[in-house]
Amino acid sequence: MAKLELSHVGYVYNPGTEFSSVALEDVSVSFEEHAVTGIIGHTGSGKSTLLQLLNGLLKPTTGQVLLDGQDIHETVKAKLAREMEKAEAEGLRISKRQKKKEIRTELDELRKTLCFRVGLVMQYPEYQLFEETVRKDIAFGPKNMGLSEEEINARIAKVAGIVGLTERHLNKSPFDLSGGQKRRAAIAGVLAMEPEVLVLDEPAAGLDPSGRTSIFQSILEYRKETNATVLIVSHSMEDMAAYCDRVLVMNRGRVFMQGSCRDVFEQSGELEKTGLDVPQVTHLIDLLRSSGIDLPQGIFTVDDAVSAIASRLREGGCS
Amino acid sequence: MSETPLLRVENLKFKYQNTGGKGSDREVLHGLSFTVERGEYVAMLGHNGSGKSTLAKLCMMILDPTEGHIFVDGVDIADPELTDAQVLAVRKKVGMVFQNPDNQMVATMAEEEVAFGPENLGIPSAEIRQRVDEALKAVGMSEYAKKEPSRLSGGQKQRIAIAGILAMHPDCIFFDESTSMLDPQGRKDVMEIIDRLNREDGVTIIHITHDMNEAARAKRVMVLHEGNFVMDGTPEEVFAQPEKLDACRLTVPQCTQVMYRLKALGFEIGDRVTTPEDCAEAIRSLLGSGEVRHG
Repeated sequence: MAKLELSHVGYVYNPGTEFSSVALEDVSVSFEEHAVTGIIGHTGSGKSTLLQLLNGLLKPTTGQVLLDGQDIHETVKAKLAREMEKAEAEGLRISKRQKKKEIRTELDELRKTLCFRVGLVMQYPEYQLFEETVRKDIAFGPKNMGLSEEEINARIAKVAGIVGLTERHLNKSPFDLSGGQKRRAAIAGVLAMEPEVLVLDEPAAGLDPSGRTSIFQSILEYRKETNATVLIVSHSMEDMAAYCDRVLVMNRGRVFMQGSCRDVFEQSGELEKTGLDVPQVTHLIDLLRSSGIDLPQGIFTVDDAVSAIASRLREGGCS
Repeated sequence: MSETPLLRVENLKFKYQNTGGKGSDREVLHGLSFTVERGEYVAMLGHNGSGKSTLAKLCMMILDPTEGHIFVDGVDIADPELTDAQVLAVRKKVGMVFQNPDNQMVATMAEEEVAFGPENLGIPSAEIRQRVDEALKAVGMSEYAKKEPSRLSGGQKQRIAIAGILAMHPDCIFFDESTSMLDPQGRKDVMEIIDRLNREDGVTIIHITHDMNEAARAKRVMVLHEGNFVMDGTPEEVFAQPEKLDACRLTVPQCTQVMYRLKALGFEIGDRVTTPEDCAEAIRSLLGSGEVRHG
């Protein structure tokens, strides 16, 4: 079973009014545990709407969002009817009242914990830092989860390690940190809730190359430690190629393509038609291929490009 | 000297005053000196906190230098005795496009947004009309003249912001990470406009960016590190030094990396290549020569 699944999801803003606009149409996609999926698409392709559906900030107009197989918006009544039907089919006799009580508790719990289980890091999350010290800011989420002080401190120490903040940083005001440090502090605040699904909207936007690298390394480290499902929205195809296992391409509110980086970047022509790019090395390989040089398709990292070109050059007697 | 440089900076120092009480003032620029000639296309690189945006704000008179001089077309903008007329003249010459277009939108209609600058310069209304139309046309946004800026995409908003600067007919435009919030299509549109303004209209461009592929399109790349310029040259010269860039927490375009690594593997290939087209050409010609030797 997929960790998180969207099943025939549609979303309409302002339905039934003259401003009504369709943001998503029949989106079906699933995200596995431990996988890092990159989501790409031009402005207005539906990426942001999609992200907000995942932790219940928005409710789909049609279709379902399933976390561990459970529709996050299912009503007690609907679930009870489903369970009773299932029990009947299996020939089991169960108390409807008792079952209803169980389901209510279960769904209440789901709704209460949803925003901790699916952690959303918004664009420019450092704008949301507000506490007196970085430590207090990171503690905000875990505190709201009702964790003990001991547990909160343990989590702060752990996430500070993951994002590379030291004890000295933790005691500072978030406003005394550099841009890159602020970003890492804000991400740490979400990681401290230990979400099973981590969703990040442009986590590296506006950072210098070394800042970008350290953000992505922190994300991968968190994934390694917790086995979390990770979703990253980015406009940088080079970052997608470097850090993601899978890529989901959105276009005009629909899923345009999905697959491994190779599957997706192989179709550079199709991507360009929707206003998207491919990594620069993929473009280079395309140029060489189109002038008749025999190179494999679907190369998207510098390492692969260098070894493919080098072996072609050796065959050509250039070394 | 034949012509006054458009921008001449001498021993420029800047300290952010610590207002919190604890700690000391933080000096971010340690005595910069450089000139930018009329019509140049400069990409300015540097890690977060290296002082790039501070420098742009100083040249825009948003901040005042702690020490040193900035001459815009020969006028020292750090001179406290500057008259209002002189200040206005400088403001007409240098424009700036910020990272987030939402931060510089004030009007409720795209064309009013574009007219805001020239209106403040006291330009007669018939001429404003003409300038607005020209500026919108230059960024390909004429059909959006009556639209509300908030209903446009990021790339379209940024094009409106650029039109607002163009309508003031500046000699020089600073772009402060103006593409970093845009999607690939938006970036492409804005980069094409920047290139064209320099190539066809001779506008001096100073483009602050973290994107090495964008920097490679400039004619000159300057690298700011810890408040000093540590590299200054053509993109080919600067990107030929990946180790030095790495020490400045920067990188080189992917194609330059490919060339550099091929060279390290012993292939006789130049490393002064920054675009996919040039890189493909270099590999093609190497293959061609190899096949000749082979045969």
